[in-house]
Amino acid sequence: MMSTDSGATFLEESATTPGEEPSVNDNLELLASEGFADWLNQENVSLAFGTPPSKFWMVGVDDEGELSIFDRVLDKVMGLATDGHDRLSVATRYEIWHFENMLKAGTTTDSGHDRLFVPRSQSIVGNVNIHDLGIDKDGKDIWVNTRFGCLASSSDHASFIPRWIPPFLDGALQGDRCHLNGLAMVDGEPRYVTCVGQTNEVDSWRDGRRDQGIVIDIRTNQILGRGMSMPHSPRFYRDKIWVANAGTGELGYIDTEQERFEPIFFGPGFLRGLCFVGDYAVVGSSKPRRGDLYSGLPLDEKLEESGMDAHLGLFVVNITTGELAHWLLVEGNVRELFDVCALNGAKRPAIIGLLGSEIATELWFDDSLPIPQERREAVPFQ
Amino acid sequence: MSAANGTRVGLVDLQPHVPTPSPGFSDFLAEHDLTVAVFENGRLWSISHDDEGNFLAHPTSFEPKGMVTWSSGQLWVTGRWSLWSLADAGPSEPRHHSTNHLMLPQVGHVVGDLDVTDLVPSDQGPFMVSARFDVLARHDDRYSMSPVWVAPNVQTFTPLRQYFLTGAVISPSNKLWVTAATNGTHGETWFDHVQGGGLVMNSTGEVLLDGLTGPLQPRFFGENLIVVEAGTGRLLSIDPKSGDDVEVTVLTGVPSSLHVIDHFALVGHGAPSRALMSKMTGGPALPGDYPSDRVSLIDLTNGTVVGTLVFEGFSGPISSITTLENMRGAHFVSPRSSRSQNTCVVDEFSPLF
Repeated sequence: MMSTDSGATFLEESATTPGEEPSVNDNLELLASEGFADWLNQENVSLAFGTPPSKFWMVGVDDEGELSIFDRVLDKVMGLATDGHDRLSVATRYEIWHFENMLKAGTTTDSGHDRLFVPRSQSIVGNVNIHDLGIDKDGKDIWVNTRFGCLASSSDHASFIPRWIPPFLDGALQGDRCHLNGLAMVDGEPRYVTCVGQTNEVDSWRDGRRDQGIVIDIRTNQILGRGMSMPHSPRFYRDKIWVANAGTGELGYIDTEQERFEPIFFGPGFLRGLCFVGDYAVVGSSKPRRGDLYSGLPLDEKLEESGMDAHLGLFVVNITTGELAHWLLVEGNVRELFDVCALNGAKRPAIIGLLGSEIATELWFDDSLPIPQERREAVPFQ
Repeated sequence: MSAANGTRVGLVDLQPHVPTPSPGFSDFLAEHDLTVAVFENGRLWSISHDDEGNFLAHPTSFEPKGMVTWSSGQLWVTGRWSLWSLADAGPSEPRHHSTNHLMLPQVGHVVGDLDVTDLVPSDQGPFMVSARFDVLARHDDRYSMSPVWVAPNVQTFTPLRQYFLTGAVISPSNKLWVTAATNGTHGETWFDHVQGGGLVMNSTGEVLLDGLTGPLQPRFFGENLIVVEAGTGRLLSIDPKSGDDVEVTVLTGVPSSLHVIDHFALVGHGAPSRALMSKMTGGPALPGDYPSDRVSLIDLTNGTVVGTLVFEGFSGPISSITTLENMRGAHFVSPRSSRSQNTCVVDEFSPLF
């Protein structure tokens, strides 16, 4: 048994450090721009994101400053959220998983990981397309339920609790009517959302994909930005509402007085998934495919004009200049990325997967034995 | 599958055999508005009668040696590393297998391999009895578990199985009683002391009854504790004040689970080779050359076995039994099923602002 100074005890049964999970030979390859690892090192950050159908990635740097990639199998990773410290929440095809980091700052696993996220619970919410996910100041999840057109929270007695519904929808009903898809948290509370349209008929939002996208302040139900093409991933950062305007391949912010989107950057791809690190935005990029939801958009014309191919991966954009600073591309038979999450202060994170034996053998306890009196008093028996 | 000569020999359906109720067991189901949940070798069976009196038995895949209980308005089920809560979503639409109560998995807690041998109901979800760490614990948002009671002599979270806790129950007056395979003084050699080394004790470690072999899953019937011994097949009624015990009956084979409802005990028992602990030889031999695992229904007022539910064929040990009262025709949904993925229960709107 190995005791850490993290206030927790790790029962080391199989001399395990993360790595036991059965590997999936999916022939995916990550390609990074020169300087990307240095940038992660300088910013003291690592990044987490998923590439459906099955991969979840954590990208950091090792002790030599080289890129460190850690991946696990998770089913259709969509929205991601962290409380900035020890909790990581991951929306998958029909579940929300909550992971807890078990390592205290300054400690590492035997293999040198300075964060070890262990799965702690999963809420089954149904296959409802959880595009975006937040954790509120009380630690409760709040997420975008695209299929039912509402913000929702998980529950221990139902699939979900509807918490907010766009004013133009009849209710939290099955059927994607406006493609509600993004959520920005402000000071631990949900605040801004993105929709592709203001329509109330199932699938009718598809007709407005080129220019009917909006940003709504959910406290007032006021529309703060209009005319966007499939906007996603609103984020509130440095007093601005940032949006990935996916249908044009642009990253920008909302001019709330003019109710319009102000682009600062074009990236070759369907931009979706956004987080911030210092002066930089990290925006995800997916590949459109002819004839699918992501095609027939202004992005097609922009790509053709510029002679560029769309890419799957991450673009690191300097938000003070609008210039591309770094990139990380995922090559292989995948094309989507829904969200990216910054793990501040984490150099080289790892996560316990769901398929290997480690989910059963990784046991972590509060070190406090004998059991504290207050916990004894809280139990209903003598 | 093709034979050597190229002819197709056909597909073989390896579904487990449907358990067979005796007339007495059927009468019990007919007279009680409930579903019996039986954990049998990785299958959680729902056993009941439908509204027309037809026998219903439906298996749902979980993991081997799971535990099941009804607690705080939900069904709780353990797997090797998880603790699941299943909520009643009401009748299935469209109506499916006469389902009146579709039990959908809602939250799965990752607790790791604690070797849970019993679940104890409480108002805030169940306590897990961990044989591996000799503790009662709740699930926890941050750690694998949150212990609320530790057996005497246990100083650290070490998987020694000093006592090998086998069950627990809380009395109506909130007194905790636990069963253990040994008295906790043998360290890593506990396994050599299970014959006659088992006991029933309270929360302070005071021994109520010892000299038992593999007592497990204590329950209350009125004022008395009911305990079944895996090693002897004896079903005992114990006065918790004096420790005096009365033999209610002796079961065939090796008992492996116990549940009490009204004045009945439901006891799961099977062949010795599938014993909870390999030193348990159980009571008299089960009938037949290939004895089947079964649930026996025992009238606790007179010790009579009034019914049986027999699992023929590829059955395994029955590790846990509970009842879902006022819920005839419950149907359990596996967390990994497409049903779980594609069924939503939408709660009432709860506005953010």
